[in-house]
Amino acid sequence: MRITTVRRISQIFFFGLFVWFCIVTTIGERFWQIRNWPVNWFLQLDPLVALGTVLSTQKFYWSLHCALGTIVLTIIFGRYFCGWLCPFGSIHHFVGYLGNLNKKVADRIRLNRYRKAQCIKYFILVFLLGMAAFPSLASSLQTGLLDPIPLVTRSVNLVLLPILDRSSYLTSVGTRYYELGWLILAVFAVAVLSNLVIPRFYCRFVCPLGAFFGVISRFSIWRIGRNKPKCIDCKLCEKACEGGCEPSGSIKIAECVLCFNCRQDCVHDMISYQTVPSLAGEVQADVSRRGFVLSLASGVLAVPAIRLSGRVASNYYNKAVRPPGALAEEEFLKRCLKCGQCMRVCPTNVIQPAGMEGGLEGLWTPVLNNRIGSSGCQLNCVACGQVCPTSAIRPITLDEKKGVGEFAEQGPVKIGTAFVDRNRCLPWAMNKPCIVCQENCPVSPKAIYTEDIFVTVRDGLVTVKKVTNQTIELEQSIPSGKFGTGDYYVLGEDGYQGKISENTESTIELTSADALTELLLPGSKIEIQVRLQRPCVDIEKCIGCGVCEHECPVSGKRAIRVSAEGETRSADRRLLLRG
Amino acid sequence: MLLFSRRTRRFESVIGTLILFLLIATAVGIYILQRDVDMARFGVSSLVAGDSSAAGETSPGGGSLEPRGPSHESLFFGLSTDNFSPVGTAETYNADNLYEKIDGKAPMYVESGFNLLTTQRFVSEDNTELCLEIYLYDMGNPRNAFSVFSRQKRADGTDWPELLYAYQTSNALYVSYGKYYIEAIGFAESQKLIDVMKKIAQQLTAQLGTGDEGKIAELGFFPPQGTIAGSWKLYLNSAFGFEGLSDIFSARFQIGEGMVTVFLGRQGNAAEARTIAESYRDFLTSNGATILSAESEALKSADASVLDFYGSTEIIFTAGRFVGGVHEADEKQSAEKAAEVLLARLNKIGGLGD
Amino acid sequence: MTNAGEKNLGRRQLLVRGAKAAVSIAVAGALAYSMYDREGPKREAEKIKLVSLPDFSVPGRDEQTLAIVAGEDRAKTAAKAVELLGGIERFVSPGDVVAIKPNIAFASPSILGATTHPDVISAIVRLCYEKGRAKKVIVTDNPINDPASCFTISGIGKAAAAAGADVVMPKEGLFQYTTLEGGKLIVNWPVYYGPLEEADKLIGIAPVKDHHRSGASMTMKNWYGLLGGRRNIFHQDINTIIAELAMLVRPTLVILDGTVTMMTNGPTGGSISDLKKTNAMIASCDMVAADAFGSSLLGLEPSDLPYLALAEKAGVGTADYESLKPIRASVT
Repeated sequence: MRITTVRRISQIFFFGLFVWFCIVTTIGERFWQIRNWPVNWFLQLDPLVALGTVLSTQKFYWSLHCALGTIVLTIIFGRYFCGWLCPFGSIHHFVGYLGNLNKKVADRIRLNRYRKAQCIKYFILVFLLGMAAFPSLASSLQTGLLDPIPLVTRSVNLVLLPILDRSSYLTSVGTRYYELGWLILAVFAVAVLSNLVIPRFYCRFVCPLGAFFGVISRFSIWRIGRNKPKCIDCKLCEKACEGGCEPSGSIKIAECVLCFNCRQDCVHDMISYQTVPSLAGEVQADVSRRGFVLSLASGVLAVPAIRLSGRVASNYYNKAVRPPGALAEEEFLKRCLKCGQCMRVCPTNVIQPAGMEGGLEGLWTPVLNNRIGSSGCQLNCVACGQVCPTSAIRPITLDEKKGVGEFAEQGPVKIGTAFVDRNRCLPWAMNKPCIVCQENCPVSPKAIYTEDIFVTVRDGLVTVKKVTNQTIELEQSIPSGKFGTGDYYVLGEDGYQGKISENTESTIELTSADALTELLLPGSKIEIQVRLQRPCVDIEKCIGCGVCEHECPVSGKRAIRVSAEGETRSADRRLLLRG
Repeated sequence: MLLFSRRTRRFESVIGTLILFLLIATAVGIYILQRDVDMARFGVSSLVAGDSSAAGETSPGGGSLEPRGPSHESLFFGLSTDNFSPVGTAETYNADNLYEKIDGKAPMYVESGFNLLTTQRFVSEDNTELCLEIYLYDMGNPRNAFSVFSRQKRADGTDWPELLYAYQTSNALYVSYGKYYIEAIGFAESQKLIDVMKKIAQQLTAQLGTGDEGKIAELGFFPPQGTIAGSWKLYLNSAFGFEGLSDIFSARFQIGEGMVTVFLGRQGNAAEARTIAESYRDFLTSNGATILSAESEALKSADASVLDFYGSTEIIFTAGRFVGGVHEADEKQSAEKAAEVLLARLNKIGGLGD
Repeated sequence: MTNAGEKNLGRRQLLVRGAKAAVSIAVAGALAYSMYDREGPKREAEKIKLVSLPDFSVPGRDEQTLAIVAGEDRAKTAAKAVELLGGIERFVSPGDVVAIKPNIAFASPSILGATTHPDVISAIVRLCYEKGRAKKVIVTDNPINDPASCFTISGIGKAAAAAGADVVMPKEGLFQYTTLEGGKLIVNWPVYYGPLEEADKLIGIAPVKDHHRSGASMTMKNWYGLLGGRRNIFHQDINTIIAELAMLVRPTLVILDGTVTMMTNGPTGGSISDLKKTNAMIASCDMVAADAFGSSLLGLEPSDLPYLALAEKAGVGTADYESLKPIRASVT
């Protein structure tokens, strides 16, 4: 069996496994739902995730221990991850293969030649690590933007799966929506389509993870080598060279992705995988010192520069409501990979990728949009924290979220507070009865209470013509049938109040008559009033779940909206003086 | 190794095969890993059933969101049950969706402090016709549990002395234990089912209790002679249709040849008791009751109210911090006699313990 | 000479070009014609498509509206009751599609009386096929508990299938919105309309049960199963919703199975001791009358059930069942 066959099987296996993990990341016990599938395995294997978080938090999160294994194996064998495992790499490999199908051998060899520009990925790596590296100055984890595993996870979960599953509902119960999905797709598409220009474009020029592997494969025990004395320099080895590592010359070890195509294509058997350095010479990673320093400096300075906007401090973007269990903003930004797992698993589809309103660092980080999805943040759900690979959203228990049991003193986790917009709310501004928000508030006791008030309706001043038992005949005409919903009352001159059960154009029917006739004499003036229950938020109880915002019938800009004030994850955003 | 010859191809195959085995091992490992399901870590109601019966809250299907419970489900798996094994997964319901299991009966539980219901069916491996279902209601506290237990007590049930508050009928077992109300429903009239259900109930109470069976003190306040044991009912609120009467215990009391219903309720202090007694009396009169005079001296000196409510006799009195009386009695004389006995009893207790 | 040759060549080219042009014009014309829009775009699409439940009733017959049969064997009493009203042929015509809506609300075994007994269903299904010569009989309901377990544990799925009926389980696509004319509660509400769409006749079959909220659950409350959405909200106004359901659904026939009545602790019961053998099977073209008689089995008066008065006022039927001259019989 040829090693390239095994490599292809391995790529297919891991790619299939990756897609499977994306599909099953949805709550449920069935075989195709999350059960205990290790859906974060690829993210946990990714050493750039581990390295990034280690630099930014100065702690090595336990869940990422598999990354050590990856590093060790890379040090021993080289960039096997890129050629055998990485699902993004497999996509590039395949698309590059398709793009090359009708090309002449000479063209293919030319496309695979080593280019100096392949050093860009090292600068990208250093830049990103620089951004994370100095917490004392300011650090932010932005590796997720270009790290291939979070990138491909995000693209599949938030764009490809929802598009493919739009009507078959195999992977989720209803249509899923994700804001800025087009941008995620654009990045993905550009990366994938660039392979039609140069195969494995992303891997060779952009991928910071590949760069990292390239650096640590410096001392690999086994490497590709060429038997220079006997080689006739036909360059057939570069026909399908994936890494652009120039096996036909002095091989660039750091670029080699162990695809073994060179060994396969060399008809003279001149290429092997060996422990001694290649007879043709080897070159280590080609990163100029100047480039290195510049990238590092840029990365280190970038974060404090971005932070000048105050977006992580007092100028925080209050519309960004983070999921329950999220760390305080500065800490959060040190861990969030923008992988989209939390958005994928959220059963109500309320977690969305943020745009840049919250600051550049916040792109594609999770924020709640209560207008999207089926219900705001469900009270009895802690799924997002369970799937976050770096604990940017902590895996809190239900007890902690609700503030019961051992967490009773600390109280429930609040992600924000709801604010009633009295200028848009139906009972506050339009004299229309509505208490949908209060009815749906899930906490107990409810965080929305109502203030009752009776208000005279428009053109509600009418004159009594005659009263017979429960029926009042009027001088004027009123809209027929309008006041029969059980919310309308008649106010008489002496403070009498009766509830209206029906009305026609000229009569009002009350629900009961008591001493009515005596009070309402012909000619007396009465007012038709509507009983309004005006919602008010009890900020001590409100946890910011957003169910009220979701249910509010004012469907555009909701009349009750949740914003981040009062969230418990940040001491400086507390609303109340105490508690 | 520095080998360029054809021989290396075989070595290559060996390595390749090894790697393939590694891949298979990985797949098997992942498969084994995913079987260890613990859905509770995602939260209680974060599950949506994957089949057609659930289509989200906004769809017309009236989708059933079936939440999974916290620890109680695991309780059912640990039970030793005489070759009965659980069928399907346990179901859990909270106050919002309790009606999805018991429909019209849900308000009774919800209004009595209901927290969570966990149910599980069992079927006998020896005889699949024998099936039973356990309903485990977490009512929040022992009084709530006793209330729903007592209000639904079947008249022809026989006491099951193993547990403090428990009775059985020809196919079912009912228990109130601590804050839990447990119903074990057999799908057939079978002694085997009753036996297994008793076993299950005993194991459940052993595991759920904190040693506190939830003994209700007030039950002992009824006169020991004449009170029909097991006929107690606890009304948490709106006893006898009156909103002002909460936490009222009633029991059937034998007086002479017949039986009447007596009731009592303990208040904060004597003044509160008097206020409540008076407002209950006013409630009855405003609904058409007429006040009669008591024949019994004891009742007269206790300032008891005796009323005729559309043909039946109602008696209300206070004894210290107790409100007590007789409800819906057929005959005034026996009603007064019963009230006397209860009054004397409550007066005796009145000063003692809390 | 060359001129002629060239001219021939030119002509051929012209012909070719002309042909291509003609084809393009034809294609363009065809496309334009097929996409022609005379009226321009409309204002706004209909918001919700409403359906209305058809009237499944058959013409009334004096003194053949209500039949009450005493007996223990459900199959026999049910068949007899239908016979007394004129036989199944009065209700089911050859080639009809008959929808049967039993009470399959709970995943409860038939022995506990919370659901319609499978024997009645088998009997009616067989009657429809054998004597009624129906083309198809559908047995369906939208249960409260999980549908699969309800159909199985109640025994109805198996019995209905054995009798040759199509057992239909509820699915999201089978619900459509409806509004009851003059209704207060059933307004733009989803109902389980799918199976009824192809039906020519509708038969409701319900047991007699006590109900904690409404006092009783019989033939009229049985239609609650056709409601979709978050229907438990109507429990707040239970009598109005039952009356409105009776106005909304106009069945061909209702069967009220009072062989074993759930006297207490309804609607779920649970203990055999909640049940009492009352050995009565009722077939009726008037749901109000059927329920009014059923109340007596529960030890109640018709006036104890407010929804009867509401329905009577709305013209659904009469609670004075004796005035319909019920036919009584007994089967051993």
